[in-house]
Amino acid sequence: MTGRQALEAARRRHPSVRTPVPASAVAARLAEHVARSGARWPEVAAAVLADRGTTGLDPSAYAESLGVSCTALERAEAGALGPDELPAPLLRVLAASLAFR
Amino acid sequence: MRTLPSPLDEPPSVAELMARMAAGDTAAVFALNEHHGHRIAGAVRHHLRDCGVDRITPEDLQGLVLDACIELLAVAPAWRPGWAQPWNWAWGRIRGVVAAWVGTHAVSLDGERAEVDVEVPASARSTEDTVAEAFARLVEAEPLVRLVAEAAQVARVDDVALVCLLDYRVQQDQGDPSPAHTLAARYGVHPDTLRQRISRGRRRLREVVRADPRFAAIADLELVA
Repeated sequence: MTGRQALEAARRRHPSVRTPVPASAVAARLAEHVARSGARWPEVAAAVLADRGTTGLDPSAYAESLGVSCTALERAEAGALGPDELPAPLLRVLAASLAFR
Repeated sequence: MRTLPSPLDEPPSVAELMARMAAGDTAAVFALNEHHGHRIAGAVRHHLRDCGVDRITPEDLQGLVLDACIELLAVAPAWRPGWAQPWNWAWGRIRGVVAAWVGTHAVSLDGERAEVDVEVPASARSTEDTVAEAFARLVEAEPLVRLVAEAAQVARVDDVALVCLLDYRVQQDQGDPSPAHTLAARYGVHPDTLRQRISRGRRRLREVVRADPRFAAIADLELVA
């Protein structure tokens, strides 16, 4: 374990992170942010962003991990796709996600 | 089954996350919040203390940190690695987030309780229109004021600078939180320039008054103290 990893591990034990931030809380705030840009489906966009943000993957790695195209992911994150228009693998992941309501 | 990064992987650096956000990767907000949220929370708490808020629930603090992260998302393209940490660099932005929250949650002013029972006597009006005119009259009438004028002459503080110094003091006594800004417009200079003039004038006056026993009588005046 490198020094930086040890620092990160110690930080995770610190009392200040005993109350983890729920992904749904972040998603709700992001939905407001996305909505300001005039997206049609801000909640869907926020749920996708929340899930990808939780994984820590960049867009291409995330799309690859789900087996969806980068374009579809990009459109979903921009709020251009509704729940019915999402690629099936993405919809499955989001349906199980706490962030997606 | 998705392959996710291991928790033991190196956490992304601030520069890396800011670069991702600058490139339009909104999801990087999550990583910024997760890995550096505690540092942003420090800045948020600083602003809260400045606004007079010493206690906040963990949920509200988290909300503010998230809002701060989203605020940083908006300014990420302008930030450069090697500069101050983003939450310090965007100090005003973060303060805006906190100030908006404090403003939203502030208790409305109760009109009845805010009423003042005691009447405050009005200040006596000066017969002159300007501080310069009032000072000129007092130089003739008051020995102490004459002494101030003499000390200013010895200290090579000219009439304009002296009147500016007096004006500044008057503004301060009237409760002006930023006399330099008020007077800068009147004197046609930048507030910083005015502050420098005031500081230089006071320093010169103070040095002369301390060094010359003739001016011992005005040594305790706030104007030269």
